This record gives sequence, structure tokens and C-alpha cells, in this order.
Amino acid sequence: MTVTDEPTTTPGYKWVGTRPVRPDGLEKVTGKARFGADLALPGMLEGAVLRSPHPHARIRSIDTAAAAAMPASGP
Amino acid sequence: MARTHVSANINGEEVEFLCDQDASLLNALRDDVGLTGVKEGCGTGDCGACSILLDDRVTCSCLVFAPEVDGATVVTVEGLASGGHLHPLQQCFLEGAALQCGVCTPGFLVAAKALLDRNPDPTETEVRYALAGNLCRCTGYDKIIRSVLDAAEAMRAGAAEATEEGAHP
Repeated sequence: MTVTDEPTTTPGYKWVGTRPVRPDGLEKVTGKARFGADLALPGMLEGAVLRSPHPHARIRSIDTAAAAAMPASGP
Repeated sequence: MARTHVSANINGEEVEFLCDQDASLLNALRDDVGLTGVKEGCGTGDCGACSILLDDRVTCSCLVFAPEVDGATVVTVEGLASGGHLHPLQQCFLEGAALQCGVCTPGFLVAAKALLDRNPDPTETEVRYALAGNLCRCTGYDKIIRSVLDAAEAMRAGAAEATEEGAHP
């Protein structure tokens, strides 16, 4: 497997065939970009997804006792 | 749980932090040191997004307990640029469009730096081999490989220039 050739510029187009630097590229190569998972705000709540262990079933009830017992857990 | 005190050299600075005893280095770097450039992709050592240099070796930070790095040297993507100048790898990734969403990028940059630190003139095969532990789901690998080869060339040219300047002061 080899690296393919450089793309050629297509005459008559402003952007097609060019390789502009991404507007968010600098933040991303320096690790400064903030993704959703990178944010931490004061008082931020965190959630967890509880998935059904059954591929096809009717939910009759969800036992939230363990989650509710955690410190500062929300409604 | 009692928090564990850890002191390590992180990105050239002596850093002390408190972490949970069973915290992964990944979570400690992100949550306790504030270096969120280190990404979690899989948490099981398969994807390489959390790659860091631990005493100059590429390591998945999700597979290391944070207290284990006490006294060690850690480099993350945040430590690549110095004095307001991008590392040649960062510059070449930018210009070579070697990133899209950017989640795998920090791991690729760190793994590529580890390669170029020990092999300044790698072949394309050697680059592909060195980056085999890093997965990218959007850009594809060709632009990344090309950018690493370009950075290696730029760094060799820079080193040759520096030697020449030293020879003729």
C-alpha cells in the first residue's frame, strides 16, 4: 500500500481541489479543542445510561435505589 | 476513598496532583491535571487515542494506574508545541489535512513523535508500523502517514541547518 498522489487543483473553482487549513485545526493539533466530554462546569451533573440486558423486552420497572443512594444524586 | 498524592514531570513541569488510588492515568490527566487533550476512545488499549509518552515510551494512558507514574516523566499532546511554536508534526498535520474530528489526533501526534525521536528518517512502512496502534475513523491513514513523513523531512532539514550554522559561526 502506498500513499496516493497529491490532489490536483481544478481550474475554474474557488475551493474544489484546494486544501485549506481547517478553521479549528490549530486547537485540535495542540489539544486545546474542547469536545463535549472535555467540559467541566461548577455543579455539573453527570448521567449514566442504563441499557437493557435483554434484546427484546417490555420495561415494567427500573430500580433506581442504588443510583438515588449516591451522594448528591439528582431526581 | 483516600486520595493518592502523585508527583511527576508532565510536559517539562514538575506537577503534583491528587487522584483516586484506582484512577487510570487517562482519567487523572483529564480530571485532576486538566489535560483534556488526552482522549478516551475505547478505554481498553485498542484505539490509541489516549497515547502519551511515559518515560519516552508510547503508552496507552487508559491502561496505566495514575499512582504508577509517581516520579516518572509524562508527555502529552499539550507538551508538543514549545515557546509558541508548533512542533513540525503539528504543522504538517494542519497543512496536510491529516485530521477531521480531531479525537484521534493527539494520540497520533504523540505516537509519531516517539517514532521520530528514535528514527528521524523512517520509511513509509516504518511509519505505518509505528502508528498501527492508533485508529482513525474519519480522515483515513494516507494523509496522516504523509504528514509524518513530511514532518520527518522538515526536522531533518532543520537539524542539518543547525549543524551547518554551528560549523560556520
